[in-house]
Amino acid sequence: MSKFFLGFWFGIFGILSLAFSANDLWAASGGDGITGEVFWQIISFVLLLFLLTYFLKNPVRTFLKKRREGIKNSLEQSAKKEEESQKEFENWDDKFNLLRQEVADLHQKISQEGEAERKRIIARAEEEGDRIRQQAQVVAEQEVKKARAALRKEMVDLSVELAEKLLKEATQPQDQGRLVREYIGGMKEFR
Amino acid sequence: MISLTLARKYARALIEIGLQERNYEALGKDLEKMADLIKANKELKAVLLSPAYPVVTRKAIAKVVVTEVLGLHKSTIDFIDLLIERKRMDHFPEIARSYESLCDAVSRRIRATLVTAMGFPPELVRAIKSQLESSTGKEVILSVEEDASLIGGVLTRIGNVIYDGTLKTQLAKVKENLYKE
Repeated sequence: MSKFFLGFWFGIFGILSLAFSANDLWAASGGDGITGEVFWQIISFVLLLFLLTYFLKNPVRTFLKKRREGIKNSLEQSAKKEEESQKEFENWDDKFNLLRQEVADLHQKISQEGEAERKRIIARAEEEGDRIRQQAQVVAEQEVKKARAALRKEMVDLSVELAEKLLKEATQPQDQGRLVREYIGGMKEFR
Repeated sequence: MISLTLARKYARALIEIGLQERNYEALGKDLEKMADLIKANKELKAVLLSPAYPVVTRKAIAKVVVTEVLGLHKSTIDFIDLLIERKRMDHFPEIARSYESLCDAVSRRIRATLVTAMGFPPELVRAIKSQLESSTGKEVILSVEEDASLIGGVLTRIGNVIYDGTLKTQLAKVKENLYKE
């Protein structure tokens, strides 16, 4: 007999004692007291309580035990899930931090590459500029040379043309004789 | 080119005859006369070259011309007959020139052309001829031409070789040097 039932029966007994005491008190004060019908109703009620207690004790206990275990399992699972969630959260937080770091690194890298590219473009542009400047200088020098050569040619042509004209006008038979004599003198070198 | 080769072939054949008969110089003069006549007389040239006239007729005409008009040697007459027969009279001027070259080679002679800007004393022409003969070691047949564009001085052409002493060439050299400077 468990403490529960012991308590239960002490309770019943107590209630009945109070009922009979009250009945004696009430009868002593001139009342009729507890009748037999009431008595049997009380007995039936007590029996009903006993039977209910007897037959429902184990199922109720099992139910309560299962319920307790279920709640306990639920609590454990909740704690476990909370723990897992916490872990997951920490994991994602780490990932997020890592990602943030990667983004920062990427940003820095892009920034550095952009700077390097900018410098490279500037260097290339300067190089190209130098090359174009040099080419322009060469072309300009060539043009100057060409113009100078053309001027010289024109000058020479005009000079020679003038000289030819003067020679044609000035050459006399005696000059021709002198030229022929010089020619004959030069012919000795033909050998 | 074919014409020149052909002309040399015929010229060589005739000069061999001339060398055998020891009259190659005379035969050369015959060819020169005949070439001059053909050049001067277009009608005669047309008759001798035209296939419209029979070979016999052309031979007869040539014989009359070369014997009665020019009085050429028998070998020359036979040679012209051969040319008419073989239809080679159109090459006659080249043959005459080739013969002249061969004749010059046999006689150790060269032909030179003296081109002058203006006339000058004949003794200087002789001096040039003499100098050329002295330089080449051969007899020189010198022909003189005048070309006023030379301005002054003379030049001598022997074959492909030119001895230039003209003012025109000197001016050209001066011009070339001035270009280079």
